[in-house]
Amino acid sequence: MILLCGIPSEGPIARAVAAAKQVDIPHLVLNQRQVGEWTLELELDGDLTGLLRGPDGTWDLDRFSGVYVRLAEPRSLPEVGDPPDAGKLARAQALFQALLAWLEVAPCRVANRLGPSASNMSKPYQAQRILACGLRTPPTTITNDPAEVRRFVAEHDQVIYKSISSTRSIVRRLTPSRARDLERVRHLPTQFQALIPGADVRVHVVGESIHATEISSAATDYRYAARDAQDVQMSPSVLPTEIEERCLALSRALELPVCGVDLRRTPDDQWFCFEVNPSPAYSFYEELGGQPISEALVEYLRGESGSTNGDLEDDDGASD
Amino acid sequence: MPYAVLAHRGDTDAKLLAEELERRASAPEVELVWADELLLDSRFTHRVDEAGVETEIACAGRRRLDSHELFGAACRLRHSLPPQFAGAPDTDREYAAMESYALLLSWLTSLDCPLVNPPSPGGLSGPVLGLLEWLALARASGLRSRRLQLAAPGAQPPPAEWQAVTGSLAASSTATFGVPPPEIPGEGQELWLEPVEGPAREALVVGERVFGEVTDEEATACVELARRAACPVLGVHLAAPTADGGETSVFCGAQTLPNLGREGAVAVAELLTGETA
Repeated sequence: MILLCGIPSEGPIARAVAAAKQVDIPHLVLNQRQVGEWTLELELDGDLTGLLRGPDGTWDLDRFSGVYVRLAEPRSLPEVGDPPDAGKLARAQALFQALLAWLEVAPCRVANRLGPSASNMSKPYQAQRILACGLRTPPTTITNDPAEVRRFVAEHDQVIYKSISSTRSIVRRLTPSRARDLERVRHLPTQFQALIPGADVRVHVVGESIHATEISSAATDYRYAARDAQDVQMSPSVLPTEIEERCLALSRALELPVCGVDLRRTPDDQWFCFEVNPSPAYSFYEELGGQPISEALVEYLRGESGSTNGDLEDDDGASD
Repeated sequence: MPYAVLAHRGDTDAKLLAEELERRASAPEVELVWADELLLDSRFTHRVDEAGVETEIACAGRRRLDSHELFGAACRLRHSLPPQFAGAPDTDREYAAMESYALLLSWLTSLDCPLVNPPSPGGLSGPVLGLLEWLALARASGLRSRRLQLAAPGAQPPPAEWQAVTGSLAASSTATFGVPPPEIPGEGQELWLEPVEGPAREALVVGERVFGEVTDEEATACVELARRAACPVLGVHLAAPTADGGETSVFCGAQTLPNLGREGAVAVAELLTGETA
């Protein structure tokens, strides 16, 4: 049996549930919005054992071959209320923390564990891991020195800037008008990157399977294309073998068996990697690109495909 | 600029460590850099590209901390809030802290000199693990782990002598049991721990060396725990389960930023330099 944890109406969970039904994989949906109706009991006495209790039954934790985690922050649950009801919040947080703690040490497949997902907290840290796996990353400088930014801009045709951390930011070009505000970087180091021209390709790694989706959009950051009055189109794509292998190696190295790798293919067929998303909103790509990512996910959790292990953090993919 | 010690103001162990480094011939230059100096009063440039990573840090009134010139470093930073944002609105303060954290993590990771403790994605001065992870690691390392039970509200509690504590299951840099009971009893889940009535002991691991009152067997297990946690400087809390101290000690928690004292500072300086005073 596989366990799917999150909000059932949310795209990635909804698609995973549909796929599990489609391929007839026994599954249990832990609906996080049923605050107070789910509890996790653990006992550590040498070995770790436990029970998951829900509104319709009780399950031994050993029964789960794999767990998909897409938990919302407890305070954001409508059932907790605004302002939050102290008792409901306590119950929601207790379950949230217990689940995450258990999943860090659970022997089953987990997509993904919290610890490895933290690599996404620093883009330049991740860039070092990406480079170590043989993928290229854009030239980057992070600085609070306007002179360094000017030097960097002089070296590269076009430059973008974005957050250093996992905090979501819209990728923007450093235009001449924005460049006039460079003195503001003195307040806090800021990340600047050479703009890499080309087509965005989102790769979803699921265990040992690869699902590449090419994205066509004139927007600098396709995730916000609508805001810039631009369209987005997606289509399935096939990666060169060595790029596939490097994406798989990256997934293994980061201990993120299910992840979204943001690539860009330049007009002269060079491949660059921007970042790895530990909790990809794959449903967006599956819906528009038509690839069976959710099916691969539930098959992975069943334990019949792929290997490795590693979650969290929300972001539906980024490309620059 | 051979050695750097990064710490928050008031960290006396950091001062001791800087003193001990200065006493070593191979470390004639030591910079004890306070977090506020690093985050407020410095010029920071961190370049990442296919040629590698290059970092230049110029703190006002101090030697530069250019990455390729460092011989070794000790990081005792617990957080990364730039002081200039201390009074900013919550969202700005949080953003500044996360951005600074992301930068420091990348810089520290890129250093190819000896560094204690090496950063992890979750922590600048070592791994950030939850209690279950520490307990599992301790057990795998040869220590007896404290028994634990997480019970649903209203569930049958364990034997009366077990201690109820609150949800310290989440990861933190100091994983020690003994948090006060829940503010809203019966609402959250209840965490119970095996009682430990005997004297508590703390072992300090520095590389392959262990300080504190531990048996040879415990020392070996503590070193193995530090190795598995990728945390060469580690405080390990042990306690006897019974008041007479007669049984095998149990592992109660670990600390990635332990108190060093003079003895620990000497050991860390030796670990970084490979040299005695």
